[in-house]
Amino acid sequence: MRKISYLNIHNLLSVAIHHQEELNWFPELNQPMRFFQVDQIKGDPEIIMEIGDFQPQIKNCFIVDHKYYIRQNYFFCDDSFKGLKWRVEFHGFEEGPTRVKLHIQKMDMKYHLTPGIIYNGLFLRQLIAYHLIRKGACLIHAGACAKDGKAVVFFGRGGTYKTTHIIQFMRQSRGWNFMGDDTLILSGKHVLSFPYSLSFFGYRYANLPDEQLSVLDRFRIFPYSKKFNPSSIGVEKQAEIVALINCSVGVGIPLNFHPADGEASIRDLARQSAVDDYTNASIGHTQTYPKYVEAYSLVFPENGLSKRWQEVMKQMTCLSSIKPYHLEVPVDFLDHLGGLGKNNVYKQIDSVIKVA
Amino acid sequence: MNATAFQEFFKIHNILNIQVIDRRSFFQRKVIDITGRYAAFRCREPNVEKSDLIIEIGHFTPNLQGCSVLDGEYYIKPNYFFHKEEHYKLGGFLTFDVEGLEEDICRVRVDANFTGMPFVAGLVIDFFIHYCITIRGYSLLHASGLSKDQYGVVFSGRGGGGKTTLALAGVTKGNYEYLGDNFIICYNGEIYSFISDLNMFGYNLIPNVWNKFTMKEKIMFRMKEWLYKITLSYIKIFTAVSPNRIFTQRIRSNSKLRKFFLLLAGPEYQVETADRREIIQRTISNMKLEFFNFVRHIEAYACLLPASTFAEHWVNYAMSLEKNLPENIEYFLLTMPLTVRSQEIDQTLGKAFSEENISCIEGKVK
Repeated sequence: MRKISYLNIHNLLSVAIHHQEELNWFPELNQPMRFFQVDQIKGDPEIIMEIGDFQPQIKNCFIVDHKYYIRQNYFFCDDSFKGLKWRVEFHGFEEGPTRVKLHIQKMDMKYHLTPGIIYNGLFLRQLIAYHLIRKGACLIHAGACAKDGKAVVFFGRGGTYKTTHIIQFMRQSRGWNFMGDDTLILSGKHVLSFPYSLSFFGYRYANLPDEQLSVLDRFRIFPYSKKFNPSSIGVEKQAEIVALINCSVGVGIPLNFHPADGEASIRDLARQSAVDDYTNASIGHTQTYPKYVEAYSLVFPENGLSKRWQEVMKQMTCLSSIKPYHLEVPVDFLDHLGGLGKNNVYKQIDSVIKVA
Repeated sequence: MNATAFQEFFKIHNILNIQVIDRRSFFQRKVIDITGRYAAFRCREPNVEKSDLIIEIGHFTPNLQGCSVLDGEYYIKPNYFFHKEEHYKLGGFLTFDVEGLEEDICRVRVDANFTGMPFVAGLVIDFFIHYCITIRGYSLLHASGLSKDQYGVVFSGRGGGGKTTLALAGVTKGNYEYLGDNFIICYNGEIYSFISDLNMFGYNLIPNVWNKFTMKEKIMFRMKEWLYKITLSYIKIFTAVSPNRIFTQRIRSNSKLRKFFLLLAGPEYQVETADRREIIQRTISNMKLEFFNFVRHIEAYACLLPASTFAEHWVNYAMSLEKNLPENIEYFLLTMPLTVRSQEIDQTLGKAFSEENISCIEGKVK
């Protein structure tokens, strides 16, 4: 049986997903954007995603690398990556509302448990990012907590312990609400929450000292997600940024928190958010969507897609008045988490922000 | 340096000297030959003190002290880049590090398992040749090239565009000279050959090549096609054929660039003149698609060292194309269907080498 679920992303964007019943096995895991789920949307959705088998319309297409079928505003390909095979067709690839048809064959067992994460990670997130840019906002690769309408944003590449910092910061300084630990929407000087897989964060926040999941945790998360109540975590919808914290990890360096250069921080944030377009950690860093865009640019060099991150750089110039900081931690940081009491970096962050 | 290591030296037209140090066992070297595709550049005289690019194949210990870690797989500090591992089909992985990214001598160390080894040349060594050529002011084009008495024509495009088909037809039927089938080096309007093995598969096989095959090679060729079919196009193994075997006397080392064709596989045959700027943009997209893993690697390095040469590589490549592709030559966009008719190939080659348009170029120069 086919179902339609709707997402309303802060009244900026609406998405319709047509999918099979199977997605409801573990709804919290399979719909990472469940936070935005609504029963009804007003007007036409900007993104329509149809999951299931389809017949592509590849007449009169340019063909790149024997597998990418391209014509104006249209893209089709048959692709595979690590135990996954898919056929995907985009109508409105570059302009107008985007209609995506996606058929996924899962050769690897583990993907059968979380089919929703696959289509979200492969295309939906990137499409949301592109449509937001056209609306004057953008998706950034960062996490944040907020209190009284003021937000502290932690940004950095994957594996720089953004989630751990947020968990620890929320625990150790009272009164902070959650906004997102991986992705946020940036609109002017404000951030809008984008809690991606809220139950994952909920599980970590309730049970773990840091973000690392053990093998046992990976099993426990299924029953947890079944009875997870999204309202158990306070999520703040919108807040003004008061501090930007650039997180990084180094080999053989001490823990260090200090003010940073403003211009460089904003450039880093833009650059790292652009890179997030290239990678997706949940499916082992596929580079599918950006590669499709590059193939499309080969056929149509002048297009809005390839210039999308230049657009973001322009939007970010208004962030220059915000105080930036740099938080460096050693690689073995997690082993010493327990010993943070004396030289507590999170207390330090809290006091710095109070002064600001 | 390990005394037992196997060393080879390659020289690309006085542009780049490459030293390859292979630490693998004799057996592994014989089974998976990595440097075979650069055989045309092999030189006997070792030129140790002037190697611009040093490649070590085999196990290595990365120098991680003081590195920043990104995504849990990149270890980066100024002038140094280490990528933990990358997975390919059939469980193949490869890992590499580079020292001296911003210096004259680039030192690349690469390690891979058995199924990852065949990817080393195409994904790592080719890229660093491209990188080192670019920082020396030359441009590497993903293209095939033909020449006739200092009149050079380049056909640039992605797989399936018809690069190899046109080059082979030009040499065997049109009596033009061969410059390369996959890469061409360009410098101030002058083009230099990049002779690498022809990658043959069912769709681009021509009788001239088939007739030169031994019986064993013919059987292997059919086996590979069959393997491609039964694995539902998962495993695609090309047959490498040295161009020296097919047309020994017809290889040229340099020529003057007179026409530039950008190939696309499309619905119907069409040739149109194109704007130079647009061609340059498409050429950059072409190169990015060829080395798409490095688009991401470079972005990782750029996160930490945004103003460095490696981080600015694609900008530098665009600048080198701007300098090296002359303004007074003709640029064409050529669309050909995947199954192209031989008369269309002849028509293209005829247009490529017809002198009629040249008069207006000479007029401009006067």
